[in-house]
Amino acid sequence: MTKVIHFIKNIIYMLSYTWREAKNIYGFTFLKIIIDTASPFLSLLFPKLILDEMTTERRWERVAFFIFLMFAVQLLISILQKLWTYAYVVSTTNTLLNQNVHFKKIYADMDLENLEDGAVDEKIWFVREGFNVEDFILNKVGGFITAVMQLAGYVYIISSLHPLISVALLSVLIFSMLLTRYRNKWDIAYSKKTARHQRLFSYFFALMTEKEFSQDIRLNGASKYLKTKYKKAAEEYIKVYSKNQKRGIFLDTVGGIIGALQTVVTYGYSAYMVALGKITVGSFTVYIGAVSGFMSAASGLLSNIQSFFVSSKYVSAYKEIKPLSIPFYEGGEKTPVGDRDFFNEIVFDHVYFKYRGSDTWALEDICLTIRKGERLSIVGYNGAGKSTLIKLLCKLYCPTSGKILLDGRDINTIEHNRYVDMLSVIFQDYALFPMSLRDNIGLNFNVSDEQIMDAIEKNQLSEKFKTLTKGLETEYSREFDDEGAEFSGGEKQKIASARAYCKNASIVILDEPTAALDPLSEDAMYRRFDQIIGERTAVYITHRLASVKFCDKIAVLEQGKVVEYGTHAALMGIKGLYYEMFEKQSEYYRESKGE
Amino acid sequence: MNDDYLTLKEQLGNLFFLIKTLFRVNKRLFFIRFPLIVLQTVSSIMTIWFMKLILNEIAGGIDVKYVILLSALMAGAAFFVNLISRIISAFDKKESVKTEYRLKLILADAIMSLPYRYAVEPRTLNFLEMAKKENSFSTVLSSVSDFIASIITAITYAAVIISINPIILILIILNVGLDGILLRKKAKKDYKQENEMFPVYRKLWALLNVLDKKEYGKEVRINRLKDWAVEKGRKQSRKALEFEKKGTKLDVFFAGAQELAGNILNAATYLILAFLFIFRNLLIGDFTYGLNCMLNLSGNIKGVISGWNTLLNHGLFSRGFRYCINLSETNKASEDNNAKCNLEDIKDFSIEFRNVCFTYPGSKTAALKNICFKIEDGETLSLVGVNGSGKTTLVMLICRFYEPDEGEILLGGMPINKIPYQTYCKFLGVSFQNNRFFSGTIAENIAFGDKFDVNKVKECLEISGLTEKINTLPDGILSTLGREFDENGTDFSGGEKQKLSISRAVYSEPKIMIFDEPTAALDPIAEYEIISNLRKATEKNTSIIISHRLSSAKASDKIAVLSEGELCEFGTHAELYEKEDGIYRQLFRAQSQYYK
Repeated sequence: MTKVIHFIKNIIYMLSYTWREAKNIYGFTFLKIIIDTASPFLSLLFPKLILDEMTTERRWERVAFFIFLMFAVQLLISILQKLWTYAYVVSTTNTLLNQNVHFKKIYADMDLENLEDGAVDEKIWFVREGFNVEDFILNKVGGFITAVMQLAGYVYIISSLHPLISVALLSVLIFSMLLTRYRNKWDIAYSKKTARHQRLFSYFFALMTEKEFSQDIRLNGASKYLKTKYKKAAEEYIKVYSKNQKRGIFLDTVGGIIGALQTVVTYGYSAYMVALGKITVGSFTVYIGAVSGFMSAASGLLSNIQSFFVSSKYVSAYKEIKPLSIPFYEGGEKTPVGDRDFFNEIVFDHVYFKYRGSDTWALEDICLTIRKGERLSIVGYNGAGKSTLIKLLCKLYCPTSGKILLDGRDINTIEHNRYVDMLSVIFQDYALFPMSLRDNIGLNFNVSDEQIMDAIEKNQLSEKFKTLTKGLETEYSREFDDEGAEFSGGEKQKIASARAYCKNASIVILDEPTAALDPLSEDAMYRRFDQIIGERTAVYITHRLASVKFCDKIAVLEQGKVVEYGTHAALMGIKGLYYEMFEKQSEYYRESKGE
Repeated sequence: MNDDYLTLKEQLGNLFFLIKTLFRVNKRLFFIRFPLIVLQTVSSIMTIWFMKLILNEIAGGIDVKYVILLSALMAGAAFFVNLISRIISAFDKKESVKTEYRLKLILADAIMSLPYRYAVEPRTLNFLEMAKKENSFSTVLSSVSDFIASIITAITYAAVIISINPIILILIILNVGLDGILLRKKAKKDYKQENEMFPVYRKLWALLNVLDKKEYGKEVRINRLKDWAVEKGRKQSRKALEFEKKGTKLDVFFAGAQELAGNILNAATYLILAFLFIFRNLLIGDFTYGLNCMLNLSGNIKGVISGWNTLLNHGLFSRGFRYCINLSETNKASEDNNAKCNLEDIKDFSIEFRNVCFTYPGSKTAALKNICFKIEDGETLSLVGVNGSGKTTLVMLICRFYEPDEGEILLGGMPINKIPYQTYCKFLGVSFQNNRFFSGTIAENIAFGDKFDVNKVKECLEISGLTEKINTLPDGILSTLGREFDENGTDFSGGEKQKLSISRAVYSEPKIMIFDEPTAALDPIAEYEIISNLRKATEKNTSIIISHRLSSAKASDKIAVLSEGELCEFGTHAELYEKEDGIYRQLFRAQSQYYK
């Protein structure tokens, strides 16, 4: 019983969802139902009138008249359908785009941890296949109502031949319904199973044909290997696929036998009635047509109902993923941040963090203070936790335990938007967008072109900018615009830092920003740091220990813990980890200084 | 992309190419299809033929038992035909799926065997995009067999109609002719429309991808870009809407015209048959039979024509597929011709550039101008220079991703373009700035193979300093990289990926090692370790290092300084440092000044 309730709840959910999102499609569906219901009956009616006239009175004028009437009605219906189609497209393209965007927004809203999780992606992929507003309204709901109305019409016609025939037909219908419900269960399980296989071999196909991998493939002679992986994945997929096919045949056979029996009965009985003179030849064809119409409407209705069960499963899956779009910091009273520049310190208060599915702590008992106006440098081995620390600071992840406090308040309890507006970040793996240069630098910061040009100048992009014929309108890549520009690794990094510059936030966070810059550019960049950062607070991850001297404080991380903290001079004095790293790096340079 | 509508000959050519390939890839599919065609033909005519018999019997003197027998035969025949079709279809679907993946494999293989410069050329990428768009290559076969079946059926119906009244057949042919003209016109306009729409939609999806692709995740969240990206997407979709409207108008107009012609034909047939019935003693069963045949035949012939156009459309879009395959074959052939040499003539692994000039295709400025230098076998060369000076380009030429416009590059005295490419690549071990890794085990990512030498893999990890990290993973070198398909997979940080790419480069024990920014993302101690490990690993081998970290340059045998595509300075660290106003000295001091 609960299953039925669950099913009904899901369908109601889908109905209200689609009503909210796509009222216009409901309007169009209503019109379509009228047209689709009427036309099969009209095409039964006219042949009957013509045949009856032909087999009884044999008046040529009347026959010709009916033929022209039939033509006129068909023309009318055709015109109505065409108008409908055009109006539909114009009205619903936006609605449909919204649906796609709806799912993409779920990705955009969810926690970074979920975005990076393949299992989550698979779930959402599955839902997207079946949670389709247009299909639900037009085909499922519309199809359902049309089929029911058509069936009603056919039953009415057939019952006038003999009421029992309708009953027989209806029982055939119910029996088939049970058969298809059984089949339906298998179909759903099947599509879940194949989702992964499809993803896998699509993945390898994409890998083999993508531009970014082409260098590696050639240099490493990897084509044979990749082909093998692809083949394996495809073969797995096919195994599961063919298993499902075989099951379907058995069910169809049973249905077919019942259908055949019923044909014989109908024809036999109708012929008998004509023989008795109870119905005309014209009516004979109507009844035959009505029975076949009934059967096709009935099987249409069956698969339609079956599809509602499928929909229900997708609705359940959708309800499961919906909460994913709520980020971890949502919920609860949020206190306002106040003026953007107004804060005194950010404190990591015994912060612990573990990545999902990991056994080891990425960060252990971090206690760190970042004071306003201070420049803090974070150094350490790769994998020590530096980037992780930054990501927690940026509220991309939530601490497993412990808190991060902004002037004493847990950052999870303050207005999220105002908080992230305080941060200008350049990540190691920053991303540039398939948009114009202006958009890539200015993003959604609402800055003027002058401000963007200032950012370009301050970040040493002026030379490159002069070579761009379209100026700020230049598309970032050549993929969509032949006149788009190609930027080298270093230039890309400068765009990313111009972006951070434009945001003009009170805290600047730099994750190894000069990795791809040549010595001269790097040097110029350090010289500008004072200018760029100015009075602002900065957190700076780097391996170039030379640049660390621009910073007020240094925190050294090792295996997720802060092991040393202080000024450059203080840490050199301890002769600990920091000292060792600094010595190693300067070894080569210092020898030659003496030359 | 220059996309004029293809000629009929070209379309057919593309189509036959696709079918030939299908046949080569899966003959079984063709043999399964044949019985399906026969069954399809039989089933469509069978039912209405029985109907005719029944009606004539009813209108004549009724023998109800005979009518029942006829009905039983009709039902039974329909059932069996249906059942057998279903069974064969199941096999057919399986073979179709198989065929599709094999075709994709052929496409992927063709792309992978293309010389690099062709593989990344915009023209190729566009055709590849076209070929990838064709979702089900194997529906071509369905289209072909449906086409043949419908022709056979049409002929049968036509025969019946001629026997009743040939005028009807003429009307049908006229109707069909009109249909054909309409469809051709429409297909042309569709194609044009499609090509104009294509880039607009690609951009739309690229913009919307900002919302859900991993690589944008951090930026989107920190800068609250969701609404902004959606707005950009909407703007772009407004452009797309104009195309949709245009396309629909087109569709609707043509469909309307076709239906009108069909309705006229319908009415005309009715008139003729009714006339024959009233004035020429046509039997009632034959009346409905004739009507049904006409209806079916028109539908049939329209099916033939639209089937034909579908086939041609496959031809249009399989253009991409054919282009890629042919490009690959032509290049294989020419490569086999050019690359013939006696491997023993390669004296050693010295690399020499003789007057090499190179400009990227489509670019106006030269990337490399008259480069001349030689590194002896076993020497290490450091490539130094500001961003954009040509360092990576030089490496690209050594990797033979591109060919010099002038001059030549010699390996041990042998021009490299004479060496078969696959052999040549085995000499190289390259680590780029942005190596791409895939969802497989760490060992697979290093060795690019299922069979690998465990000890060698571990050695390579040692050289790049990843041993400790690997030891923390429960599955060691068999741990999965990335979490796309394995929840227990590990993500590597930027620095770890860099180390991994170094491991990959040294795994094959190459004779020439090339490292493009091998330590950019590494901490000082790792950097120090790796540079000394690399030095040990490359001691006996010729190697080239591009690095902004001039500390590594100091330890190299030779240093080449590039500026705006020209080789400005070449020599040892001591020699170059002596030049008072030399570029190298300038760069070195810029970096070293902070290390007091």
